[in-house]
Amino acid sequence: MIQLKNVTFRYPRRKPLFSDLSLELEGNHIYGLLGKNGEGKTTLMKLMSGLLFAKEGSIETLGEKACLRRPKMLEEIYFLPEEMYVPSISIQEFETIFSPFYPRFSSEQFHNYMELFEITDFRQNLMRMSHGQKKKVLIAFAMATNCQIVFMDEPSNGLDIPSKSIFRKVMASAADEQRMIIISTHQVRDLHSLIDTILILDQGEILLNAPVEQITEKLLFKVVDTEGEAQTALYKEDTLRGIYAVFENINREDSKMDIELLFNSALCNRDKIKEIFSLQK
Amino acid sequence: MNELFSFHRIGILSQNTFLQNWKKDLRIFLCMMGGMTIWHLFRALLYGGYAPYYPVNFPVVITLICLASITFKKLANPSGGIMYLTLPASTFEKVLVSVFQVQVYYFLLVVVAGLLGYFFASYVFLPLFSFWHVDGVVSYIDCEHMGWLILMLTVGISAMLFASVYFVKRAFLWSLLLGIAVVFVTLWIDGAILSTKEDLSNYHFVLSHSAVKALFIMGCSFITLFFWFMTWLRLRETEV
Repeated sequence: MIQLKNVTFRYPRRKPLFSDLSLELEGNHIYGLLGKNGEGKTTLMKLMSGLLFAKEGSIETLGEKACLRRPKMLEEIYFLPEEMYVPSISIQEFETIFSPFYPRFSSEQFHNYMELFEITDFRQNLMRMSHGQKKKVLIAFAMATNCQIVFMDEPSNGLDIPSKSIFRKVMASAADEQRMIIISTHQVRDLHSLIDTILILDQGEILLNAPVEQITEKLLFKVVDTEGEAQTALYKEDTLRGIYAVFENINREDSKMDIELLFNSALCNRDKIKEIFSLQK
Repeated sequence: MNELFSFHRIGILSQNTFLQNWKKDLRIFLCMMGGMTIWHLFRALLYGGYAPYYPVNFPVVITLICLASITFKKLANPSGGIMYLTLPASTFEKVLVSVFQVQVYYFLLVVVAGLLGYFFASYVFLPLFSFWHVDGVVSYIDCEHMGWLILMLTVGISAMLFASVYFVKRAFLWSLLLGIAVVFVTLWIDGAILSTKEDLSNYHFVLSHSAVKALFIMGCSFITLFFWFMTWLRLRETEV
């Protein structure tokens, strides 16, 4: 669905953000795009959606060159930015004037999602709503477009606790074989049950691109009691229960992945992680 | 599907543009009408009651120039730019709708507002001052003169449209400077190269009035098309 080949990108008068980056993303996945501040998560999503142009290399989204921004491609992608822009119109008007652009938009789904988010008055002006409410409207709209690719930049920022649970429910129901959802987030605990493939961006390259099953197959997440036991850990953190550590899963034990722990261990052991997941060049 | 042009997409893009902006457009219309009422009253007082009507006058020109210079203002805001650039329509369609919005829709909106302002001034307020003589409404319009004005205004608006997409930040200021530059270049070309006087010592091209008019029309058309093309090119290359 999305192919990046030898992509190089830099902002004017800054050092390159990506050099010779190659990546392939497929449908039927919910990708969690992780990275430190300023690593280029939002930039990467903008490159894939044609909002930014690579200086070198090629980016194809749904078989089209992303930079051309053809209607055929744009009808099948939806970009939900972290800072949203909403016109000064009601929710009903927003649905009326924006839904015709998306051939597979479902009004029924939009209304269902809005009901889940407990927003029932469609006469409300979008500009006068709170940040969280605007976000709920745009999330509901994004999922109701039934686009093949949905980019979400920090979607759970600004959502209250019950809404985060509803958001997970909406996303889980919207995921299907034809669809790809890419979520850039720091709030991994909000979305850990949703994401099925982890993408970690670090120092301008993809440090990790693996499904959750593969990660739990190759890495072991467990709590150990002593420092001695944690000596071979790739990464460890002291917790009240003991030392929470990540090990190479030599014995193929089962464990539950902790995304934050995974992220920190990946950053601390870049070469080892690449070796384990065979990303060495 | 035609990737470059689709009547269906033009229709929904036009609907999108109109419905997003209708409240703002209504405010512009009402303000323009009120402003033009005052303007015509002022002119009537200045000219001793005789105030011939010009559909394209100074306030109309300024208003249209201002509106054209902020056509792509949404691109200045990253999230607004994201929403606009990811709208499923080709760049050509987006420019076409913007050109129609500024060069036709806003032109009609502002001129009609001006005409209504003239009506209010001439038939509602001025009669209150019975000692003022009111010239007939639209009694005389110099069509040829008006035609040249509209032609030049079209060029100016197209330049401002380009400036609004090229100078995303402080669009109005840079658009104004560009507009002034276009006017000066046009005047220079007229003064330095073209002439209807048979004064060969100043090495002017000696042309008949008809030839000058034809050249002027061709030149204005070419410049307008050039700026529309540049608007399309620039929007195509816009990143956010």
